[in-house]
Amino acid sequence: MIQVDDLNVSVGNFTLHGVNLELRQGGCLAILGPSGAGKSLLLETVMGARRPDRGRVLIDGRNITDLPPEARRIAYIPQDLALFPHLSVRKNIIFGLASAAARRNPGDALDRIVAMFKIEHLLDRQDITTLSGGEKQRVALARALIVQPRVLFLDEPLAALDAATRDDLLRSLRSLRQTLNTTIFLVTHDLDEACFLADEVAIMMQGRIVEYGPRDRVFRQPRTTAVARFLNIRNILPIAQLESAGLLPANAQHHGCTHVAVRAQDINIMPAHHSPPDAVPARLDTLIPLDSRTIAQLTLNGSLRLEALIDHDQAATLGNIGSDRIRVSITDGRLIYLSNDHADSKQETSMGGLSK
Amino acid sequence: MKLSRSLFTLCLVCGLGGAVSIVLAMLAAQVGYAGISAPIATLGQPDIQHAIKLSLFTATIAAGLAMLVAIPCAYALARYRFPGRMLVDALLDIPIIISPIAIGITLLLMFRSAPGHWVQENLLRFVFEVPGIILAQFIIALALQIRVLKATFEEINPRLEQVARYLGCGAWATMWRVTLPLARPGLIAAMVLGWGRAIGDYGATVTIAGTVKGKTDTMPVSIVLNWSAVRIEAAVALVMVLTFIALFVLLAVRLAAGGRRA
Repeated sequence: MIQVDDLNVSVGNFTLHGVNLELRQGGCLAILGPSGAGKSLLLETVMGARRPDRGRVLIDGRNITDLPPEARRIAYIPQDLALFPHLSVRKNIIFGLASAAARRNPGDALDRIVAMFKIEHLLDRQDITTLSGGEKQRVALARALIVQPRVLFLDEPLAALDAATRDDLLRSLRSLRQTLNTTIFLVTHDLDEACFLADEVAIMMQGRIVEYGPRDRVFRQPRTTAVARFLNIRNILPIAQLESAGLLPANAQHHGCTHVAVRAQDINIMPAHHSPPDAVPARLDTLIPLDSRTIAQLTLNGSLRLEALIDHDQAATLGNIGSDRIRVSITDGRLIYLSNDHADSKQETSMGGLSK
Repeated sequence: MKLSRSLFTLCLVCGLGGAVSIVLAMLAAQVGYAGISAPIATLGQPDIQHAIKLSLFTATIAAGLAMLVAIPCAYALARYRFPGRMLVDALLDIPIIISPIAIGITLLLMFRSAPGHWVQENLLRFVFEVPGIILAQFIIALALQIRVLKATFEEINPRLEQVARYLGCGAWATMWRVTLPLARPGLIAAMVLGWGRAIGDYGATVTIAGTVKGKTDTMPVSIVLNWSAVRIEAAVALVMVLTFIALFVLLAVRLAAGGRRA
């Protein structure tokens, strides 16, 4: 288990403020955030490359804050993988084995790991620059896992891969977690990656953890407008506007929230003559086809703009109905009440505690 | 358009051809004046052999010792940001800029000071001695080696070293297993360039070690001594040896650079 207590680090004008995190053995925590949020600084500090100004890092209950990186029994895969260009594939993989004797005769450890990643045929490759992106990833994972690390740190590990290879490796990583019970600390700005691998998610903005909790809760029920925007929720609107458009239930409790978010896939569009009583009139402005679905841009009440995600068949039907003869509704229970951005800083210290 | 391109190509050919012609003319002049056989015959003379052996010995020791200092210096300058780094960097470049004679004079003045005098009396004599030659060549080689190695270390992705640390390597093991192997072409280039610079030094060597025949006469010193004594074949023989050494150094550096990985 890895635990981060009240971690504070300053580099130049940038500061990480009071980070608290906890990750159980075999779990995967994704640190999500936009560029410049401090994700990599947090990673470097937890891994031991930087000394914190305050706070501590514990692995399996032992305080390792003052231990150098090499004494922490961790492994790290950066975005560029950092395979050693002067070593063959075999020597790259066995690099972390503790003694020269173990490296000379790696035996079962090497056989097991190369079989797991199906890279037996690459072992004798002398020049690692001849490997494909996916092969490099597998070699980097094998190198990291052969040392049986207590925690595997991944920094945007799949960012440079094409979509097919990325999907393939995501599946490998997921099954690896289940097979080896490896604890993974993942830093990424890719929502799909976090969604696929992590069971806990922490969202960082401007050096603070602004939202932290189980993946499904964070993705489905973000608490602030800034987090909702980061999660790419297209419709974030002031409550008053949605009320005046008639899209909020009459008895809705706002709990002091100022905004509401609605995912594009939770907005239903229908012809006026087939609509339920709670649907409100809308005008269809534009249809933007994507590879699997279509974005429908709508206007309600003359000025309230919404985006809905619909399938291609429905898009074709809507095109025939006429742009002003449709109605919209929101799927029950899918309204997300948000506090505004100014409340972020007040809430951030309590977020971790609330969600754990 | 076509005329402009032809003119451009002509300029390149003229520049390259002119420069190569000057160097070839210098080399031809060596052979043209004294021939090949007479200078080669003089290479067997004891004083010439002494000059060659002394130069090879002092330059190898000086360049080797300088590497031991240049590696940590260059690594620190390439990897760490510390107060006064720019000043330290500039100070270490001074021997590249100032005349070798100025370096020799500075060393002489250093050994005239009380601490320098104590070193001379109690540890090792430098002035007018072989260790003086090694010290002068060491300083000449060191500045050049630091420059080459700093650029080499800056080219190595620091993340490779970080990953090695996380995989359990301490600082020494990381240096030994990652940094130095990756820096190998730069290390070879630095050693060869430092050695070449040391073996060709005249100004600093002659100022601190003098021209004691049979004792401190390195190849460049011996060239001047033989030229002054109108022993032209002997001087040309040594010039030829230095020319071959220069060619060897320059080819070795290029081969080392060719082996550098992207």
